[in-house]
Amino acid sequence: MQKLSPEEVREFIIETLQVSGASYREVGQDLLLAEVTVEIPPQFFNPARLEKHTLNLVFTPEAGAAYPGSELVVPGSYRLSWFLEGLRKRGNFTLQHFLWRRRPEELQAEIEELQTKGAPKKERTAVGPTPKIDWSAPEVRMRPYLLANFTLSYRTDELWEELLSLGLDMVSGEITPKFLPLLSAAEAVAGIPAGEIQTPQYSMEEAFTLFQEAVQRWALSKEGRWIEEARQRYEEELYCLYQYYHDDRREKVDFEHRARELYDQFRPRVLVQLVNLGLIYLPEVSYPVVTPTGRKQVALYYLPLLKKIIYPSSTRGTGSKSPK
Amino acid sequence: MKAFLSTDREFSPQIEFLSNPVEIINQLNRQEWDSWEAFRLRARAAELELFTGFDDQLLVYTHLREHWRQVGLIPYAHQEATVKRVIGELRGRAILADEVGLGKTIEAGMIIKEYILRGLVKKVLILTPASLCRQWAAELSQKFTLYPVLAKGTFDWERYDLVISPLELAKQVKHRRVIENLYYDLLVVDEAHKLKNPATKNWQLVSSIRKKFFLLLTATPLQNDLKELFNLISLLRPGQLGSYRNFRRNYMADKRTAKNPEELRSLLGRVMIRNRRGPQVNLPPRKVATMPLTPSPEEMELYRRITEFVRHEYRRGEKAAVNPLTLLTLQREVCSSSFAAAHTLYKLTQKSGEKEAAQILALMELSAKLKENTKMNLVEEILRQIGEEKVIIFTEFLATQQYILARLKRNGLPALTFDGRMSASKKDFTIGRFRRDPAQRVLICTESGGEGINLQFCRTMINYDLPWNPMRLEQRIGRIHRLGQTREVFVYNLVTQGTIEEHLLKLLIEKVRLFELVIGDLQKIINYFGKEKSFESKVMGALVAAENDAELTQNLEVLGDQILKEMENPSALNIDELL
Repeated sequence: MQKLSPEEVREFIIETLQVSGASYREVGQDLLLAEVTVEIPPQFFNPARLEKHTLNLVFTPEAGAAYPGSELVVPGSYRLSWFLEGLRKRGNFTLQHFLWRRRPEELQAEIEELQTKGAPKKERTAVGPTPKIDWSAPEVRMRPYLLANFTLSYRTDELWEELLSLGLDMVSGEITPKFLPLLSAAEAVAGIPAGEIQTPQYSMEEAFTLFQEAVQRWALSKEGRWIEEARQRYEEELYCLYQYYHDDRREKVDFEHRARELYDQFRPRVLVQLVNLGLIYLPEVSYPVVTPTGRKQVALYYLPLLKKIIYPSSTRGTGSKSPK
Repeated sequence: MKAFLSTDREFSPQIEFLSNPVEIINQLNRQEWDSWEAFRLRARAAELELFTGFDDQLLVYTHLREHWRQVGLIPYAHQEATVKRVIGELRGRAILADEVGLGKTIEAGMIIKEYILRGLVKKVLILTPASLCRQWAAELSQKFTLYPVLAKGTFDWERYDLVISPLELAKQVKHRRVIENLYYDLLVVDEAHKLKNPATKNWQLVSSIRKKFFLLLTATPLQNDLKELFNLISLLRPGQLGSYRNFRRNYMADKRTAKNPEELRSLLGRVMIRNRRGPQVNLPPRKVATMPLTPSPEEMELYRRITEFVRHEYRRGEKAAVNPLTLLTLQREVCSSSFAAAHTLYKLTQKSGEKEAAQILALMELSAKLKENTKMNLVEEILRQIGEEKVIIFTEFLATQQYILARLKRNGLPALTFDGRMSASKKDFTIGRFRRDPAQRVLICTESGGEGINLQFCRTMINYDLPWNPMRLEQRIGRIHRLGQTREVFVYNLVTQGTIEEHLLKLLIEKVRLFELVIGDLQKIINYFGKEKSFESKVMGALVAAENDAELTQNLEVLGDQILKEMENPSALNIDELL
């Protein structure tokens, strides 16, 4: 479990109470009174019965001393686990689109700043000299993304876990890591947006394949010390086992059975579990230009929430239709 | 075999996706969308639950802090240190070998819970003697909010993640077949000293169970023979002590004497933890009082005549009409009460030949004339003096137990009985009632019924009769004098003057100074008492060889010298010196 400050725990609990619609009251900085609905297990009542409970929650031992009978909520505590457990039933799927509010000149400034940072230069040269862009009249569309949060458990005889948040651009197939934090400050609105939407170029099945490949690449790119250390421990155990069986001329089959058991215990595995999945639409502005030959084309696309510039050559498709 | 030593086995990480895309897409198609806030919070919750590596902080403390406050459990420092060491240094494979009463079950419970909280353990099997299954279940649920299932059918093993089972049940072929096909994240075996012989089904079953983490619990990892210790350690971690040949060559002077103790100590320390009573683990003091009493002339007459009969038959050796074990029981029974002896005498009349029948019948008639037992006068006196305190009365015999119950009831004092015949649920109910019902002051307990139960809410014990083995006496006292006991403990030993009990107690108290020893020192005399039957036989031998009291005293004096010599023998087996 991650280390959290008392303030962070408190914020998390309040947010959970808000999401679940439970009423709560803060008494000063120390005490939180919450009225929650608790399910009495079916072994006592069938079907399970719901009851209202009042929780007196504090977040530091000092506050606990000030409010006798209160319950201390800290990382690892029963009550925090109770809230975490309850959240498993919530937020598994979401459908959102995101708002943006920027004036054309603000957008222009952002894009130019990003361009001067140098990262997109390579892509720019691919399309040749950029025609003059009319910054005052961007066209706005929505671009579909699939946001998937995964937990990755790196297991040998030990365990280490991480959360991986990936955003798949359903038009280009490009995957952006650490996707959820990019949207932390964005304003979400439930449902499909009105207006023009870029046509997804990937089916859900294809999207999952892309996710799996990306997760695999991510896991394999990790520094391999955890594997080497597990191998060393495995070798020590195997040698120990070998001494016992070989020197006393014990059953070979038995040795093999135990050696296999050891291997199962130490071999490195990465268990990937999907936490939740969001179908989201992010605003995208594009700037049409007219080429010297008189042809109208898009000079660049810009995703203000991701602060990302996409040049037409790097997209798989730009057509418009309803989402799949 | 050597091919297996090659570590060229595939060691590149295998990526396993636990979510099925088809199912997820089906769920998506149902369009059951949640809010953006709930979505973010769900991801945050998953992030908070991540296991990001071991640190020194035990999760079980924070997780159960509130619960422990409610149930009044405060783990001791030695228990916390043990849990940390097992999980950190010993990597989840250990023998928990604390002395009796220092809370091995609590340590094991903390380890189980800690591993579950860390997400490293899901499937757990606890193998224990049948008599302790319920106690384990109660401890885990009350102290650790873990709710195990007591195994019954063959389907239980697979269906449930936390299962408690008697070893006897698990080794039955139909169950064993299922168990061996499963993989346990954690296997716990209580009373593991029963696993010292690889030729036994117990050892073979435990060895064959596939497991990641493995705990063996025993207060006596070393009793008779260093080979047994080797077998126990090899069960836990084969090869820890090398091969047996190696072990014998490097660490055994003879089967009871260790060689290279420093080196052996270091090897044992990597798999075994033993906490002993001492400055770090203090229990409240205990006071042991010998309560001598004078039997009635009729009781003395019965004792004298039965002892004569036993002595006579015993001396006949193979020609005896009654087997030696029955004679030993009869002798112990008459020390307990005439009612206990009458029971065996009755059975003997059914089996014996014509010649002995008359003699046994006469003894039976004599015992039948006795309607009371003088010891009860003393018991009632003690009960009067100690006021409202709850009291446990221990006896070895059911007939004596029934008499005590009847006598107390007759005098308006309700009492509860507890014995090995009772079902597990009735045992639980009885202990619960004794604990909570203020009207129930007395629990009359037989030896077999009392094995392994925890009664530290009570601080007074009366030994109505004395077991002939001091370790069993110590185990009785251990029911109340253990961790969790906060008050001074009082033990009353009732001793009928002029009987073998009197001599025996004299031997144990004055010569061996039994009650002044701490358990660790007691371990030294385990070598001698180890096989209790043999010690009882020695006492019996001393009794039958003596023509009179003086000779009996002399014989027991010799026995006492032998015990003391054994205790002083530096080469004697002693796990505490090896750890």
